[in-house]
Amino acid sequence: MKKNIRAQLIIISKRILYGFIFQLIFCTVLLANTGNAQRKNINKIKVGLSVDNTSLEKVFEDIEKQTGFAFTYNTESVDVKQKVDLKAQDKTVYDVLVDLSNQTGLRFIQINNNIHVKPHQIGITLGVSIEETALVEVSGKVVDESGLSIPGVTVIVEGTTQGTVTDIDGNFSIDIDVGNTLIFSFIGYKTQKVNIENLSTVNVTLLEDEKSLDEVVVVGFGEQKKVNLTGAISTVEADVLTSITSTDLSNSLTGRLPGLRVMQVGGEPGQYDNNIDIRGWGNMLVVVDGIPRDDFQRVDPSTIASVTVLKDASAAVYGVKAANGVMLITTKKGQAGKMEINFNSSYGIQQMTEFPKAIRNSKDNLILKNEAALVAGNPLPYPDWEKYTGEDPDFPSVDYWGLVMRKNSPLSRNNISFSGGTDKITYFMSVGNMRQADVWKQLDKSNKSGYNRYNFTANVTAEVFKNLTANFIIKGMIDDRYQPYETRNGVVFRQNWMEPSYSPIYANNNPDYYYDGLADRNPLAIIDADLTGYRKFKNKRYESTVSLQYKVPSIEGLQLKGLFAYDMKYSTSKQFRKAYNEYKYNSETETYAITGLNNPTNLQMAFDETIYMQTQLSLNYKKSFFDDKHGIEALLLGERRSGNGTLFSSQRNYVLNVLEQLDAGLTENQLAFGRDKVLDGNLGLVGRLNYDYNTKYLAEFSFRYDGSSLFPEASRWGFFPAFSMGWRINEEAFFRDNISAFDNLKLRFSHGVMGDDSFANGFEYLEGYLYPSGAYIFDGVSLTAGAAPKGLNNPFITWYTATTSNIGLDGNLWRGLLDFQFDFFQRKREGLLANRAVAVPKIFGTELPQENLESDLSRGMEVVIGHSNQINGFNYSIRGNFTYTRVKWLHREAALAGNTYLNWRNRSDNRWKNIRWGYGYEGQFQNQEEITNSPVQNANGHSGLFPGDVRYEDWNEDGMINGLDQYPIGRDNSPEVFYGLDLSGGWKGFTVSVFFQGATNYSFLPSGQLRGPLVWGRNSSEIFLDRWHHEDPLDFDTPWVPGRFPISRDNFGYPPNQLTSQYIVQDVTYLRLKNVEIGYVLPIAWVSKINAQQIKIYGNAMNVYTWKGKDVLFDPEHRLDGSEAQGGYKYPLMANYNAGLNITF
Amino acid sequence: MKKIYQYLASSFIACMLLLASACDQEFLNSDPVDILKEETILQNKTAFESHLAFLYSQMAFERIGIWLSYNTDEMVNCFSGQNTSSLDGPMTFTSNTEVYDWWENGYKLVRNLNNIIGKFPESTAFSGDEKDEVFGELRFMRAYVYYKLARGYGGVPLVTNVLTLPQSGDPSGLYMPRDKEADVFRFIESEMTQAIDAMSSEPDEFRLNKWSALSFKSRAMIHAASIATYGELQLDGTNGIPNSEAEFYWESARDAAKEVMDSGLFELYDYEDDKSLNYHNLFFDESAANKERIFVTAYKWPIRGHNIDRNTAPFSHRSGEGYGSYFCPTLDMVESFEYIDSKEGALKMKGSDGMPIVYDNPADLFAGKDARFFASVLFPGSPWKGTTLQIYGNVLEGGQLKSGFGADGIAQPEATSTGFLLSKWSDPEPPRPISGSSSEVDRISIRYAEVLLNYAEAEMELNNEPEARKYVNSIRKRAGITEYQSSITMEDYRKERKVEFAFEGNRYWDMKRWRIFHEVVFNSDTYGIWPVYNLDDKTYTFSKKVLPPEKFTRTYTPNMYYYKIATGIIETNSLLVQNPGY
Repeated sequence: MKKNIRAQLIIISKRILYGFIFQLIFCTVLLANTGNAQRKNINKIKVGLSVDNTSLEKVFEDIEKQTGFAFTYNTESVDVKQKVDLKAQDKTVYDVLVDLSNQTGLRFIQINNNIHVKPHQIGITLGVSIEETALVEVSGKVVDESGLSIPGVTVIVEGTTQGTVTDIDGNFSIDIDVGNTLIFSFIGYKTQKVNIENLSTVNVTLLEDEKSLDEVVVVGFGEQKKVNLTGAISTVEADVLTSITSTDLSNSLTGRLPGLRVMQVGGEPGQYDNNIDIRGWGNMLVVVDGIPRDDFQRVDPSTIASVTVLKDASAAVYGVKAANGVMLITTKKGQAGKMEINFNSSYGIQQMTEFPKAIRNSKDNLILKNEAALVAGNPLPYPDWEKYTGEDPDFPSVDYWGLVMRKNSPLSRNNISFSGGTDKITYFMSVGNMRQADVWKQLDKSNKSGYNRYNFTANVTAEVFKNLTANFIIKGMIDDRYQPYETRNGVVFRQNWMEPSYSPIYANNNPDYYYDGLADRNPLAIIDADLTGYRKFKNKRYESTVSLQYKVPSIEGLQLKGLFAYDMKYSTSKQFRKAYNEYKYNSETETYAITGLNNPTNLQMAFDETIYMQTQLSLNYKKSFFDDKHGIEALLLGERRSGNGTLFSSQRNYVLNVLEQLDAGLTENQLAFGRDKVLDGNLGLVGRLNYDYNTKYLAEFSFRYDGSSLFPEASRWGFFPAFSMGWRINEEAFFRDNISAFDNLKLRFSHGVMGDDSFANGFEYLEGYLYPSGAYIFDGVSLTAGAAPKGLNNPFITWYTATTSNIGLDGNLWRGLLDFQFDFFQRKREGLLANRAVAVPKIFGTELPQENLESDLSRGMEVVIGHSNQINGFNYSIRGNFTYTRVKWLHREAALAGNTYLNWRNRSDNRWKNIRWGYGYEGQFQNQEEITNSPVQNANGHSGLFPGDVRYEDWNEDGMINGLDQYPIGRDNSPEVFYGLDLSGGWKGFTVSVFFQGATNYSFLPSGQLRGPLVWGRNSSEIFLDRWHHEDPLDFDTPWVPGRFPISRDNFGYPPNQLTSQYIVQDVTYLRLKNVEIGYVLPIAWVSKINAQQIKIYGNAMNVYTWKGKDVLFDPEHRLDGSEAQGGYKYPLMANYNAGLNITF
Repeated sequence: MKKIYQYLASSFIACMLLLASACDQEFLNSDPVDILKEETILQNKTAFESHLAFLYSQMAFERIGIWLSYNTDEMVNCFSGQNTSSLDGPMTFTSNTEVYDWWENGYKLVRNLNNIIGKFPESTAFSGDEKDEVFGELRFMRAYVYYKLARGYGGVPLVTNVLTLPQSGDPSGLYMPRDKEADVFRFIESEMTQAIDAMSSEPDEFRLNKWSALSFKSRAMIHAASIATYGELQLDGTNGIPNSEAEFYWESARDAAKEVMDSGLFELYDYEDDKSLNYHNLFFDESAANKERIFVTAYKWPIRGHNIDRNTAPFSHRSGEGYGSYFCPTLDMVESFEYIDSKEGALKMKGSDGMPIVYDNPADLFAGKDARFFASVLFPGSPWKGTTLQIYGNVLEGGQLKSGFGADGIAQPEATSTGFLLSKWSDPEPPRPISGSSSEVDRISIRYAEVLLNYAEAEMELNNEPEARKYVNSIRKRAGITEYQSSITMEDYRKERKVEFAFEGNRYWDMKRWRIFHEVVFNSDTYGIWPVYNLDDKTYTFSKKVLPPEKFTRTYTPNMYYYKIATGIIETNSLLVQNPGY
């Protein structure tokens, strides 16, 4: 992405007229500066100075301070360390310089405010001279290594604000004083200085800034040059993250970082419903600005400088909980310079990506119901099904989905940031807001069902004293979620999905009376918060970090740093359940019968506070020796982390439901809960040593000594070492001489052991009784809290260990035309906590405690291949990545089973974890004869089966289908493979970025409405219309018509058709057009009119299109598996389409 | 050595850190906020009672009775149907941890009880008589756990000490074979007898005392006696009780029941002239006047409510959250209720000419039934919460049979399919809109009527029919139905028991111990009624209707008198023998 911006700037300057205008403005400003410069003369300015045996350098410094003159010299020809004596009371600078010249033999030439120091030269005797301001015109051309001219290069006279920029052909021309230095700089190229002695033509070739050499990457407790990395580390920079209008940071990272696996499983605003891990290893540790912090999804992407994932032993320095990898998020800091204001705003709409469709006309549904009744041998429940067209109110056909859901719901994001600073103090400040509305219609007057988030951040760094720098970061994340009371957990989707269209929505068709005869709550009533109440959740998170960094002056390269972080989280909720009525109409009496619901009105308020504190103290030493060939960096760090909190909640019922205040409620039957939270504490000592030889051979060793309060004293502490090595093959002469294509080729290896306490239950090592636990009523009225035995304790419980190895190869060829990164890894975990219970007889009467028993092994690989190029002003880049991980059990606790089949099935040792067990599928029965000749299908034998029903494989060939016929039929619902493809290009101020992402090697087990028709006898998925049925569905004497599903049966269909089998399990491999963005940078001429630096307008879209199997009728990323508690009614994923504006002043 | 490193490291880190308080080793020793030490339990009366509360809640004294009735001839679950479609067995019961998974839960309780019984002598939480009474309470609980184990599984390992895992960690040291069922019941009998001697004779319907313990004992003893009388010995005596011991247990049951009867503390609930209302109130009157309640599990909304009202609700009375029509009595059960003036209970759906009888009011079909019927069953035309239940499957218009069904059944899913619903425990005037936890009516675990019938059954078996008839008649009298004047048969007795305790869960265990389950429920269809509403003259006719067999046909084989011991239980204890037929 960096390259793109650079390329973009070239294009702006080169191809467009505005480049000139841009230059003109700049030049005018810059040249104007030189006009009013006051010239000083060394003959007139006086100094007072008295030194003995002092270095020349020091003397220059003193003179500079007193007079404002600047000495310039070349240390190679001028020895400024030599000692001089000087006694000068009220002498002119000229006199002092003559004195110095005599002592040292140096020449001094004043040109303007600079005093140039020159070595003695034969033929020139005068020690001190004043040269008139001799302006020479210098002109020339700036080209890149391939000889292409570079327009827009800034050319500045060193030490002044005087300068110009190159024109469209790379030419420049400037008048400067002889002896001054010109600085040529351009984004993406190395800055070059040229000293002008007597040249009038200067042609400059700017060298590409080899990012890979200088680029710095955030690593554990510090930074490292990218070339020197020896671990498996991936980074993504800010520019990728800011323009994506995802409401959730983790969605912005999807597919961007090889090895980081993100799946969005729900789209509910404020829920941040994602599965995210590194290499399939489980919950990773997230470190924000050096401190482990959760809720990272709430961080405003505009404030992020970089996101790095540590995927191997490089994470080991984080010890506790780092065994699953670490994600490091670094937020932006200010840069010294003029204040920059950045304003970013976007507005968009969201639409559901896909949601399983229910039948939305009554006739289709009633055919299924009638057919099901015939199958069951019952009379037709709806012989007059054909009348249900919706035209006659007695025969309705209601589109519930259309009544409840809206097509487009808004989404907006705004952010403004200020940054800048001086040499001594820099700052970055940002305020942002994000609003996301719900997808259902807003029936309440407040019209605020949705999510709202405010982020603010301030990051100030100041040099308090010499060598002592203080940094203060404070971040706030404040969000609130407001929703109608009954809309939690996907209920809205369930309710209006399930309601068959032949139920009316209003009693007597009167919109003032919600109909009560529905199978569940009236879906329109439940989205009306004014009628049914609301839930309000507010979260406030404040994260503060203070650090002091001291450069120890006496020892070069030694730094001491202390850091203290204090994070507070407050969650409050107010849940108001309001009594309301639904109605039925009696046409004989012309009255409405009332059903009271949600009675009594109830208000629940809760408060939950969590505080985390962390302290770190570290020593850092960095130095190179022997001509900079040997580099050493060492770190010693101690840290301590602890937390505590309190939670409280209470509720009351109401007779008067107008005042939504707790104290307006009834004291009778009120409830209250509350307790302190005991959070685990950790102490840790970290050490790390890095060594590099000429950036050719690299090595790193680290260790971690950790203590966790989750474990008993005896097994509380653990020592975890790690090391890694790197070899930059391209630095070897034998390689470089033979293969010149490589700019970089590095072989990496890492190996380390990490400890992890994250599966441990607190106080597993203690005995006792849990109180309160359960309760009993002894007097008929009041509750006596129970004291339940805690179960056996394990006094030996301790860490499990994860041993991670990684081997990697990085390469860059032909200056960006090709780069690649390959990583192969494995992680072995030993001592995973598990209950030995399976092996103990039940008469023992309790479970054995957690012990460090199980082990597993995961292996995988990651590949990144990239290509970027520029052709005729069009520049583009392609970058693809691929991640594969699979995990197997090495040992899993399992008892010896009663028979060989179960023994085989239940024992998982050396078996992949993601196996899905089920029945084989041999197709649908085509006719009655096939059914009769098939193995015994179930407990009912062959009865109850029809053509079209599922024919299972008699896998063990025993003539009957039963549990023993299950075998591994595929993989479970967790993908093994993730891939991403990023395409971007730029031309004439336009930028386009297209990003694809997907996953494969996993499967989906439908549940609920996706598994069978007429769920709870109500509605069906549209898919079940495509079924085996008779030509006239209600005349079973007509011939069969085949279909994808079996004939309709009531209430989920015929259960034997729905066993977990190859028939029902679906391959949900997908490729998704995740993001598209088109941007345009406005011409400078327009921009300058409002004194802005840059204005970019853009349009982007997320979750635009998905390629998937034709039978997959839902969003494959949106997990609706049976394992999801909500039975397939989870809030759907959203696609969004946005337009935005980004202005920098 | 290791200790020193630890000390050095933690001290170094801690002292390095800016907070001075970090310098102590205590930093990693956080105190749990919810763990009580065992000493506290043993020394502090309030703490001990908390442990008792836990034990009582785990005992779950038969509070799930109604759910067991699904599995008998009494009723079916119309909300979701019977689950008969399992591929692995002929019939899967409604899962319920109190019954079918009792092995695991029972032995957990055994362990807790063994532990507290073992340490109780040193406990200082109680003193004097009270200490003895609590000790009796604990021992009775353990005996009752074993009763629940034995009636389900037959002989089970008798564990009376806290088992400890051998140092080696090898669990095979814990393996135990099953004790003989006869031995288990002997243990139960003797433990109960000793415990009862120590227990308080102060009546308390919420906590075990002498009277509730004796009542439960009579229940356990008639079970043992029935096994000895009707069961057979299996697996070399692991299951079954020798016939020779039958008399001992019948007498034990009789004596336990008699002691309760002689106490004079309890009586049948009989206050209302309206016998149906009276019988209904028996389950709702929680005042001291209700002397039929011997042991009850209490509920109190909102802290601890249950869902009976939600689950019994007729279709048109369903709560906002759905559900309802869980309990649908079968036609067979309905016909077990006699008409007051005749011993027959069959519904008069057809006339002698074989043609359907036309009723102006559907409720007329049931006129004259046993008062207990109206307090137990809701039916077509039944008044309910100010409305009349509309249950019909078709309408007749102009002589044509057309579709159309009543607001409460029959043809729609989740409404009754038998034509009947439950009214026992259904509160016609609930104090609040019904929901999953809105009901707080206590569940009666054992009531005086059962003590009387247990006594009667023992007397019947001991060939003292006149004495038995006396108490069967007392039950009939309370119900307002004709009393038996001449001698009764065992069939008469059993039918009385079926009707009196309809849907209370008793029949499930009764059919098991009488070994008649496989005769009553064998591949049998389940029947309901199919009312048809004549729109032209607003009349009703009825016919008998078989319920969809794939959902409601049930099979019971004789081996099911003992549960299958779950595979996992046998796998972890190779000395256990599986029950026959599994």
